[in-house]
Amino acid sequence: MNNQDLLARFRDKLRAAGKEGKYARRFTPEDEERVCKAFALALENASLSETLLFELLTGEKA
Amino acid sequence: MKLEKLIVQNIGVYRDKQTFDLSGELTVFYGPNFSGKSTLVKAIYFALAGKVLTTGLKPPALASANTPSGTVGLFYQHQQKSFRIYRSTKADLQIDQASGEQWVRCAANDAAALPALNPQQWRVGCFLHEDELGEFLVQQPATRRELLNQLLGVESLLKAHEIFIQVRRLAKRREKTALGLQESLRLEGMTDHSAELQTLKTAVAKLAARLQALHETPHGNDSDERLRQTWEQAKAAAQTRLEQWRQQLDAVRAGFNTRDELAGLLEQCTEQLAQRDQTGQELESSTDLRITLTSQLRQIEDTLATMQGLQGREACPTCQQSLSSDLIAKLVSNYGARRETILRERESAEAGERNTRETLQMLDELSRKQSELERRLQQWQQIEMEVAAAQNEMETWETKLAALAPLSPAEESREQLQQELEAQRRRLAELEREQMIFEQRRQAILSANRQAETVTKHRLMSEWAAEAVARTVQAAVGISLKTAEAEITACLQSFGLFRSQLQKIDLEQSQLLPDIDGRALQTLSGSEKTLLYLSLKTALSRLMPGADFLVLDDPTLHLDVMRREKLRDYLLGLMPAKQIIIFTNDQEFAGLFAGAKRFDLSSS
Repeated sequence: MNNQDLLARFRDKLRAAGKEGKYARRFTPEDEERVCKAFALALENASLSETLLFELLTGEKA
Repeated sequence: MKLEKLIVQNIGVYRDKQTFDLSGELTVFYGPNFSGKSTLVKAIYFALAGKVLTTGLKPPALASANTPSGTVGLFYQHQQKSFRIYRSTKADLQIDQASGEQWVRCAANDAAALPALNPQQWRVGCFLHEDELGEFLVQQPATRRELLNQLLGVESLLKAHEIFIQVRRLAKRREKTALGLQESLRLEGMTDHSAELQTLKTAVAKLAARLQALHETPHGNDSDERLRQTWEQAKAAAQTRLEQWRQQLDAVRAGFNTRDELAGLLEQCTEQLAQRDQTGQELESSTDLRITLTSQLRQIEDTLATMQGLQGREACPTCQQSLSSDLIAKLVSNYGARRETILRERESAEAGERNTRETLQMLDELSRKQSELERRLQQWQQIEMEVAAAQNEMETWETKLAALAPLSPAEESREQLQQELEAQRRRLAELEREQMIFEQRRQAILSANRQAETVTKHRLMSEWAAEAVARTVQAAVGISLKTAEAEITACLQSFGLFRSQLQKIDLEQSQLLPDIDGRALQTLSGSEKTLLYLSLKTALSRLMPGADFLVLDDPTLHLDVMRREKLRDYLLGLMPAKQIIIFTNDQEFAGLFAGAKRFDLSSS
């Protein structure tokens, strides 16, 4: 399973989780896109730090 | 990927260059122990993975004894193209691709030249070597889980999952901090004065208007009124100056009740400081004495050392005169006693010097204090004069104001209005100050609330992402393993290893150690272990694109005749999808493969 397959699967799982419980109607499509970009980067860079990933995810300095 | 040709030189028992044709679906190497079978298996693995198949060994261990390095060459087909790879035990690597009659050099990291398998995947997917099963069984569950992840190629996904979990922790910490700040900011004990301020501003404006109207009303003695205002202002200025000087006086007199008290202390300091010169001389004398004693001590110690050197000698080594041992002993004793005396005297001199130095430091400190006291005394005198002058000035203005004519009723009313206006203005200023603090706090609370809302969203977002990554991991592993589990089940069925009802194989749950009929892999018989392990490898190799061949080194250990035949059938069933290369010392087993390409290593 290559990274593209994993990203597609991740997007499905993210959407499914986004419809459930505490996550429902909390996030915008832009949020979803940001999370997917962060995930793709984390897949490609094993040495990515959590602070950088947090910034990518939220758009704010950790 | 299919193998075509193997070349070895200076590898293990193969010192001279030897070539083995591997093309075709099935190749069987037969040879007794020490004929070089395992060496060839290791050579193939080394050519592909750059590592040694046997755990714990480095590539130089593959080279023949007393040779600087060995070389392996492997020719193969990959994605309908022909390649050859040469690798030396000194880490030299060359990969070429066939282009017509020519070979064209590829980059060492050319992804198209070799299947994208890591050494672990090569090992599990394409090789069954003699020690492997034992090594696998003694691995810790965590190691086997790691191996499983490597084989499934989900390491990067798991790493990403780990980072997302760390991000979730980070977001939770930030939320806790923000909520703590929000909790600490309260408006309790503070009042919102905005309504009162508005009322007061209106009242002040009305008073100011009334006062203005009164000023514009004609009245009696204007010149007296102007004079009164001027003098009142002068009196107020004198009052302010007086207050300022009194404050400065309080600062200067801190710690003293009267000026005489300060002057008395200053006098005491001066008296004590009179001894400073004498103490300085004492310090010089003490230092001189210590230096003199140190010099004497050094001389005596030299002499004593010389005398001690002469002890036990019959003649002086310099002048060759005969020596009296009694005399030398007496001299040593005398000089020793003298040395002890001077040591004591020097210690006493050092103690005296130390004391004098400390006294001198104390006097220096006292001198600094004296200067400070002198400065304060001067300031005190100066400020007292200033206070007296301001007091006089105030009294002068009060006398002058008293001499003016009394205020008329209109003037009194204006005076009262003025006082009331000033009082209201003071109250207004006070309320405005309180309201400003109140507003600042309210803004801080609003900001903290916004921040808390944001960080809560970030925490939720990080949880959402981590949850999705966890589900992705579960799905990715699940899909891959499902195929492998079905493959193993089919394989075990074909070997006839299930005695009772078929149970579901769960590789993840069992951490790569599947059970047969509820019995753990470790507890199975030798033949069962071998067959189960082989089926596990074959199943996992299906998940690895490019693992299209299987090299088996002595696979018939523990197998009886019937199971050898089953193994043969199983291996033949893997063809043509998989190329099979068997190395065995079992001549009977080798003979089971009719039509295979054969190499007899027993003659080499």
